[in-house]
Amino acid sequence: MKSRRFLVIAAWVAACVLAIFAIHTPRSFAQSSGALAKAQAAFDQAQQDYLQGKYDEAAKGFEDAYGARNFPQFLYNAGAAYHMKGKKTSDTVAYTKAVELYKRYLAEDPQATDKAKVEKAIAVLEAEIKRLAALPVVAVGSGSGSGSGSGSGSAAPPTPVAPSAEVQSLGEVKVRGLVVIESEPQNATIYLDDKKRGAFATTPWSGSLDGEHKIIIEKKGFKISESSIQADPSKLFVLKAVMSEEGYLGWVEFASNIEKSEIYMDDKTIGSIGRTPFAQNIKPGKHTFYISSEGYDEYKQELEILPGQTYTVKADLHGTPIGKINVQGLGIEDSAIWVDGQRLCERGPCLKSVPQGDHTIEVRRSGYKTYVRRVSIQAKTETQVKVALAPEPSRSDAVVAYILAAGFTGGGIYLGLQANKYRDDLTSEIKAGTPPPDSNDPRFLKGKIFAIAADVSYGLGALTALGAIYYTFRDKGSPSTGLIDVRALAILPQLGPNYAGIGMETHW
Amino acid sequence: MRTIRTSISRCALVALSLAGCQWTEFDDLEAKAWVQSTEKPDANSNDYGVALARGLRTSADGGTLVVLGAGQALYTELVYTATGAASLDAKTELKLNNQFGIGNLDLQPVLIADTATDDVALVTNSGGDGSIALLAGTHTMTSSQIFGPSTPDAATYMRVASQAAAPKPSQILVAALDAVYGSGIMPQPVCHLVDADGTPVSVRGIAAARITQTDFDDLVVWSAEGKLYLYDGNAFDGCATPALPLSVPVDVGFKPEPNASMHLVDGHFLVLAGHHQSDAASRIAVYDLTAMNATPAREPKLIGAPLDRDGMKATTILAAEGTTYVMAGYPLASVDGTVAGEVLAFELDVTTGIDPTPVATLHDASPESNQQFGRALTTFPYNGKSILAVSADNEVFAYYQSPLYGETRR
Repeated sequence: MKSRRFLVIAAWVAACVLAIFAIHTPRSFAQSSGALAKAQAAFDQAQQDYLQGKYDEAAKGFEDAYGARNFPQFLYNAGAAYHMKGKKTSDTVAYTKAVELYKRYLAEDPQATDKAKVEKAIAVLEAEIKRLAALPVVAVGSGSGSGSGSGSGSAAPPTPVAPSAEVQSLGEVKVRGLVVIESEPQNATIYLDDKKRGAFATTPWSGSLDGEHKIIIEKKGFKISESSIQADPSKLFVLKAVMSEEGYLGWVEFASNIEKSEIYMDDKTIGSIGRTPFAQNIKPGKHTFYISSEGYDEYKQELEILPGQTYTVKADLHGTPIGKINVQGLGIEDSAIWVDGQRLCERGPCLKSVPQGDHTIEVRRSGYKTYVRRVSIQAKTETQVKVALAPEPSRSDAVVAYILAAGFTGGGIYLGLQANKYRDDLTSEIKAGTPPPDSNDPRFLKGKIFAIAADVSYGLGALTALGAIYYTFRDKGSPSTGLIDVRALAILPQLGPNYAGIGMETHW
Repeated sequence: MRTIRTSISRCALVALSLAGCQWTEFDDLEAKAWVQSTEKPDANSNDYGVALARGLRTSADGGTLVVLGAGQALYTELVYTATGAASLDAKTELKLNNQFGIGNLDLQPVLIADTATDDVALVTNSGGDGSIALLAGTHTMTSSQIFGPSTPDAATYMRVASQAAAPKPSQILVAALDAVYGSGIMPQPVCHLVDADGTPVSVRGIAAARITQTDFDDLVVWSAEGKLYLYDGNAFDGCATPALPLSVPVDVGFKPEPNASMHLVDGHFLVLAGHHQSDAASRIAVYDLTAMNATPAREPKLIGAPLDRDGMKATTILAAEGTTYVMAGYPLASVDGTVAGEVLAFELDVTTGIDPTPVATLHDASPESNQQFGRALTTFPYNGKSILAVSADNEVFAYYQSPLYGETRR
């Protein structure tokens, strides 16, 4: 027992020494590259041993890999190998090693995403060690004899004890693959898939990644590196980016008091280039940067970028109380939503944030009456508007009235021209006197009748036109309607035994 | 929305006010028309305007015009105000059948006006006996004298010697064939006209002219044979024997139908105007009667050339602006392709005669078919001036202004 404890302590010391050595030893990229190759070779062999049930060899291989490159994931895999050996053989020593390696894993990677799961495994294994230690030792041998004393003989391996139900519940433990991303030089920013999602990590980085990803590595003064990886969960995948220097670009670092604020450059319509915190090589020249976050006033800064220079854009965003507006309704997908004369959504349903205050909402759809409503948006509320648009009524009555008005007006013009002709003829004939028209000349009466008829026609035309205008603008038929529903939004801290974060609650 | 509607309404009203026609312009124009046209009154006469005569001899303020209607014989007076309004004087309107038993008038009844008084007389046929109806003046609508024969061929007012001492309305002479009847003098004279050899003279036109006397008139006769005679006026002041002409007759060379017009100008210039008795020809001629004032009387002198132009039915003498015109009505003349009638103005110079080229042509500015414009003519005093009146079918035109004279309205 003493020798086993000594071994554990020795292993701890060795590990600590190795860890300290690993931390404090300056590593060049070349050295790192050789160690990484050694680690990868050990990892691959250990992986095969593990699959063949050679858990001791597998554990040793993972520990060797860790010795070459101290990635915490190697410790987990070594722990997993001992865990499986203990489970298969009820070997408390193996369990003890597993617990020891799990703990080291957590100590080296306190932010591990599977921390809770590993902690649970540690607790279960420690309980299993105690349970196994409490069991009586049963020797199984050949021959017979009696008496007391000690003797020597060959002892058969102990019969395995079935794992506890708790151990069984942990299931089969699988070793994990590892993705390692390094760059030359190191300390480059790693972006995963899209720079807009923000910085993922800095090189060197190791960890687990599932699926296919685009890896973007960027560093001030160096050309950007972009690679695609298909991570295998059972393999060690190493991505090494050798970055070449690039001195003709400027380097701009963006920061804001509000994390993940959107960053726009020059033309906001093309979308954001990333989210704070963020840094990027920028072509020399005059640029305008915008940093904004929903619910905050936009920050704007202009910079003259020079090659090889570093700039910092730090936005101090000030918040504006906002509420959300949610426009829904039948046929809303063909409707445009406008707020305060600005198009808010090209088509519904529309859920957008708007500043607190009074706003005029318009829901427009071709062939339907526009729904207009003045609403007061409160901060931290969601104002839901369920709109039922009424079809535009037919304007045939207005069309008929316009036609009649045009007819009357046209008739008035014709009659007026006739009256004017009579007037002009009579005037000229009276003036010339060859022959002079008499007072009973029918043209006096005709002209007067035409003039009166023209005026009547004009009057009818005007009245009809007014009617047509009225018919055009009158609100015929039932109006478009909307149902307003206001819900309170609250963003609250959420704490639990295995999680922490923020959550949103709605009340209505 | 309300602002839009209000703006559109205002624009419409402004546009309407700008585009609207002012029909009162035609009232103003009508008031400026040179000619006052009066259609037939609301009476049963279906042929209004068959004869015209002046109303009052003088009128310093407005004027009156006598108009006869045929169909049912009707006497009316149109009263013209100084500013040009015209209206029918209902008080003087007469249905001649009721008053005098005169039913239907000839299409060209003889309507004569006394030069000495305001009397106006109708000489017409009343169905068997000749009729004289004193229509206006001293004996206005108070009496009528009926004597034969039945068909008058000519008539005129004439002052005779017995009337000179006590001013009375002039005597009406009515000729039928060779007989000349007098009126107003009892017993009624009946003279038969003969020529120098005793042959009866059939009358087509007569006119009183002061040729040989100073206080009473002689009688100028235009015979059916186309000759012009002068008879001593004394012969018609209680005539009992056939009258002999004072002079050798002059052959006018034109045989008129009855009721030929004879107008005296400046006392001794006679304008003859007659329609031929057998065809459409018509003639206007001017004679100087001065030579007839001799012992023995000599032939009247034709001045200038006669004006022969077919279709003339009525004439009158218009003195305007120092010029004398013979106004001749051609009611069947074609105007712009329409048989509507016209009136021609011929300038009359007592030394050169009638200028055959009309100085003015009057017709309806809106000629109508069969309008018979110019079927009767006269002049009448209006605002102290003499203006022209023309009748057409059921319509009378009074010319307040014409190409021959200026504005007469006030």
